Amino acid sequence: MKNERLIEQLTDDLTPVKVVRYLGLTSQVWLAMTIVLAVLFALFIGPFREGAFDQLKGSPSFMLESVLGGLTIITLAAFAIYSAVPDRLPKSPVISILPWLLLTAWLSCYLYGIVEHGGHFDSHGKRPFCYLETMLLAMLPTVLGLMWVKKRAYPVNKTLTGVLFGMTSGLVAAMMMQFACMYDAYHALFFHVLPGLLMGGVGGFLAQKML
Amino acid sequence: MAADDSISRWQVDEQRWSQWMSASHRGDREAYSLLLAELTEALTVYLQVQFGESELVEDCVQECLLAIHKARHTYDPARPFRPWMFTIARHKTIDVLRQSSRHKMETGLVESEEIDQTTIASFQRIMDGAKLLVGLSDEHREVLMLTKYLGFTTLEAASSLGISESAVKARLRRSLQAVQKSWEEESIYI
Repeated sequence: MKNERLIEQLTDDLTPVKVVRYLGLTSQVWLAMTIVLAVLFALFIGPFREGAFDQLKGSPSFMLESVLGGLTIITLAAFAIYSAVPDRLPKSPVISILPWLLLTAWLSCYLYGIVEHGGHFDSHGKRPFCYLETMLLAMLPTVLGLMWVKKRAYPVNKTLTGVLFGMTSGLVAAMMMQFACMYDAYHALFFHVLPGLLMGGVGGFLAQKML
Repeated sequence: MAADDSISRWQVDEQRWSQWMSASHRGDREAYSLLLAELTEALTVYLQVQFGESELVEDCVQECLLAIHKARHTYDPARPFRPWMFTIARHKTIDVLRQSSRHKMETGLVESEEIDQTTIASFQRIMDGAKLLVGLSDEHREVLMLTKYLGFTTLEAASSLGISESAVKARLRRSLQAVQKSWEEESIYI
């Protein structure tokens, strides 16, 4: 009887809806917006490091870190969007662990760099509050992403979705700092990437409040 | 032959539910009402197999229907219906189990002093038939039974089991994680 009444209420409440589609495209649009916001905000605070983009050609380790970082971010962005829709996260074990494998490989590059350089580094281009910048840069894209989730999706695990959005935004900011701030493995790992990863926690918290 | 019949029926259900949900996207109330009625039955059977006969099942079914209603715009008609539905249903059921404090027993709300060994034994028999709970360890099944079926608070369960309240909460958390993990490994053929 209770179920029949509920069905009646839900049927009376029924309105036409627009189906959520093109999740892959949505993830790339959100990612592009996150990158643009990060770049604009960083430029507002100060210029990028001189010669940063030339380093891509001149330093194989810098190139590798940038490529691995980029791939990690692209896959995490996709996972963030897909996690917000029931039954859309990949089921294949290989694809499921892909972002985490890429992240591990990316972080390993920094660890290798720390060991290789043995404490010597070049502070050219250092931004005094880069760790704060990283976290602040990530806030708006995280919030905008979660607003899309609230309006257009239905995450079965809100915390996971929030963590993925926060982490992706944070790592975009960290990757941008790779070019905007000083380039050193220790500094990048502890003052850019780690604050970026911590944004995952912020995202999870925001998701609990907003969704 | 029986297995073939089950799979055919499964495919027919799948197609019908998908079409009805697509129709409901356009605002077709008749199709939606038919869909919800069939989903109620399917979910009730599924949860009764997992948890045994209990008013817990009715609460879970209602919460699942509400969640499916709120999430209906996320169903893509080009994709299978059941995995989408059961993803929502399983997560919602775990949420209900996490959040539920006291549950009404079939005869009404029972004060904890009235629950004696006879009542616990009769519930144990119900739970012996519950598929999902069979897969749990004794510790996990015990704490789920006391808190979710018999309506004990965590403090009352701790007193009954002779352990600390924090130990009860930890066991409850792990038992729900075990239920969730077991479901994730289960394929969705009914």
